[in-house]
Amino acid sequence: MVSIVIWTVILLFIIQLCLLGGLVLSKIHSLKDERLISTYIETCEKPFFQYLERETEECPELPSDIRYRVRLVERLLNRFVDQAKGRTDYTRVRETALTYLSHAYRLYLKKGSWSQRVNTLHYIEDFGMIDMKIEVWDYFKRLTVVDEEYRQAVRVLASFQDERIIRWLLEKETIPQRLVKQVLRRFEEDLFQQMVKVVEDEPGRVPDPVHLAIVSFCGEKQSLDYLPFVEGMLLSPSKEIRLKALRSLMEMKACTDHHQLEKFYESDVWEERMYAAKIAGSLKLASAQDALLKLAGDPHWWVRYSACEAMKNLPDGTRLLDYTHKHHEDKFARSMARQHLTVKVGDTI
Amino acid sequence: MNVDLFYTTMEMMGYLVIVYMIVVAVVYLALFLIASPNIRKERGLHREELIEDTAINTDTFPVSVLVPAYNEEVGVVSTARSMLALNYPQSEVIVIDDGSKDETAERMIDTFAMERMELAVRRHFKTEEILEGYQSTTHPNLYLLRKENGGKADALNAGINFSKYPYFAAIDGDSILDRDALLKTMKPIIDSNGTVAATGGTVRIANGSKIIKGVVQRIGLPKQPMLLMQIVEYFRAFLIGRLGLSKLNILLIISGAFGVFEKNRVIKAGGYDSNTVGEDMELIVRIHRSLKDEKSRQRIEYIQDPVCWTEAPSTFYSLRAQRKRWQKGLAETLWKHREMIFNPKYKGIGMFSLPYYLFVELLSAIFEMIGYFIIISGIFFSFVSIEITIVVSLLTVFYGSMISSLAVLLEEWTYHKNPDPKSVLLLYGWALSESFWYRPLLVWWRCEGLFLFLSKRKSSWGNMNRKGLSQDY
Repeated sequence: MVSIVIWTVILLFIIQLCLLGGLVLSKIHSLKDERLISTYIETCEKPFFQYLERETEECPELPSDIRYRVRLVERLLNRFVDQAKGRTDYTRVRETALTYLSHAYRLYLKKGSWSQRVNTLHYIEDFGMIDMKIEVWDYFKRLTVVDEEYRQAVRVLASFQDERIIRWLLEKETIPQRLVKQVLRRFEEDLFQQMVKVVEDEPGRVPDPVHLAIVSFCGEKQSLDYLPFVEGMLLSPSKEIRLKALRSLMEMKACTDHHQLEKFYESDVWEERMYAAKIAGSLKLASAQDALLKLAGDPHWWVRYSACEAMKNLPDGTRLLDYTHKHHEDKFARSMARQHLTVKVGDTI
Repeated sequence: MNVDLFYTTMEMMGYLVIVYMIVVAVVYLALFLIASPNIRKERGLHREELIEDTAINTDTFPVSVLVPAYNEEVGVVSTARSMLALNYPQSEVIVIDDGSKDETAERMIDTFAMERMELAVRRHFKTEEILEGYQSTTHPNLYLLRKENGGKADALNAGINFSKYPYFAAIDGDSILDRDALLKTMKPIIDSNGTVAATGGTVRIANGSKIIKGVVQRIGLPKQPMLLMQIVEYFRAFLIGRLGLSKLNILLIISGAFGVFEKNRVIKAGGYDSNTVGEDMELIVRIHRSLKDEKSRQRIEYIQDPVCWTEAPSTFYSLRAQRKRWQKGLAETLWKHREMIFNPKYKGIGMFSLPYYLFVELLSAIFEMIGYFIIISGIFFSFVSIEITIVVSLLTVFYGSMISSLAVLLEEWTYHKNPDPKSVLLLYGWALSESFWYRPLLVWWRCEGLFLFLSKRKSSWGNMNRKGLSQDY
């Protein structure tokens, strides 16, 4: 038995030594690569950025080795896009990316590893490589697992205003609401209007997550053009849709008729009472004073919190909070008002 | 006759230890094989690209960051700074001073210009009394609660009571988070649309790294062998153990140093248990239990990103105290949930995870102690045959070092954060030496922890003699 164990241990020891050797060699190799890329970045960054900003028409000389060139251009473009954050014309970024990266990216999408494909999809979107739309669509059609790769492919197609994504949204029943909103954020106005129109004209055709995402996104857009659409959703029989509509009104800080809110102050659903209080606060509705006083004594903590928070926003809010703190019949309302008198809300004071 | 019986018993125990070590090595190897494909898959992934959208997304769930602190005057300010610097759309930071005897609260109040506020706190759980609350005038999303001493679990429960967001992150007062830590850790929750109830990331040891104003500036290795060994140990625990178990959805620990939880789920489970020192593991077991009882589809996930930096004990005294506390906490949790062990109702948790923690993590100290006894007996007193002594010795050496070196390999595959090839050699070398000095010490301390559990002596917040992770200049 001893000899078997000794041989096993020797074998394990050799395996460990091989692992160590491999690790050290790969570490040396990757550090060398990294140093080389850093040197390239140091010398190329400034002229490359000048080229991207159209200060010069001449692209600086890049390494001839394609492996380094792709990594270098990718990093420089990414750095430029991150720094520019939409402040610049992206035509040159797109052109440069197409010249130096499209061949490699086509290859990665076809034969790359999972992480390589995901990275590629992110860069295709970041660099606005719209000429690769067909490849991304074909590639997306082959995906079956809903993971980061799948989600990013959807986001890329939405960024490129691919109308096929609308049909895909309407056919998918189980698509996460969050992903739908990511798509909507990338859509330009006309595509988003198409989506709103579908909800108005053929609501039965729209899967629930898509419906909810559209109502919710109206609030995020804060465009008053969609106010009638959102207010229409307050009449929906679906609690989820009504809640999204209330939240959107709160974010839009708008409401054509304040009487619409009255039924929500009295709603059986605590979330509706909470949002109604929040809307009253965001609209600084002095007429909602009585309702807020009542909601300050609500059995639900969040409703009390929102009512007192809303009071604070009213023109005479501090006095009202002080009154609630001293004279409200409900002890929880008094306690909540007292907290709001001392707590500062917001990012800055 | 009696001498014969003694020799036979020793031989039998020797065989038992050999079988045990082989089985454990196989289990570790299996976990490595489960964890490594995932690590390989994500090798080279540009993670910062993945969270770009989450960082600016209004759908990213707001999070309350809870920092329980007891006598943390050295590190609490840098921890709070690190929390405030987190890249996250909406969060609040709540530092809970659990009746510290030092200047933990004063340091917070002075540094962040805090003012007293009135409290209207919900009581999801009963806790020791909250004495007062403060809000920073420079950072309105930073709060300080001062409460009567009740232990870490009690402080966390008080923080949950006060918090207002649907998710909370529990962070140790001596930990520092990467700027994107919260985004990375919340990503599985957000992507799964709430199907993930709790997540945790890899915790790394910060000793030896340069940290300025709560931000890791340069990653480095400490000089002390004891700290190097702890680094290897953390790699092994996180990259092999936790990732492997997480892939099977039977992860039982989200590190107390940093974890994110769905508040409602924790409230349903009953919050942290103040009667155990292993409150982090105990809570996860209880969450698993409630998920299984409800037949819920929610799960607990671990992400491999190194998101949290913590100060490891740098003296034998504090390491001993920490390991005794961990062992006691583990024993308390396993004892409390003993009816789940080998209970098919709890599927993987009952049939694999809990037995794994019982036999591999808890009782290994006993088995290894017997192993060392056999080796010494074999060498000095010839109680045991030389064959068994050699086999046990060789297995003991390779039992730890093989897995440790695989863990170093996984770290290199994923983050290769070690600055140069020398650091890999250093970690590897020390990993090989583990069985000769570090492991026997741990075995001894863990046996002490077991004894502490059996003697039912009460533990409290551990005293780590911290030096502080961050330079504030």
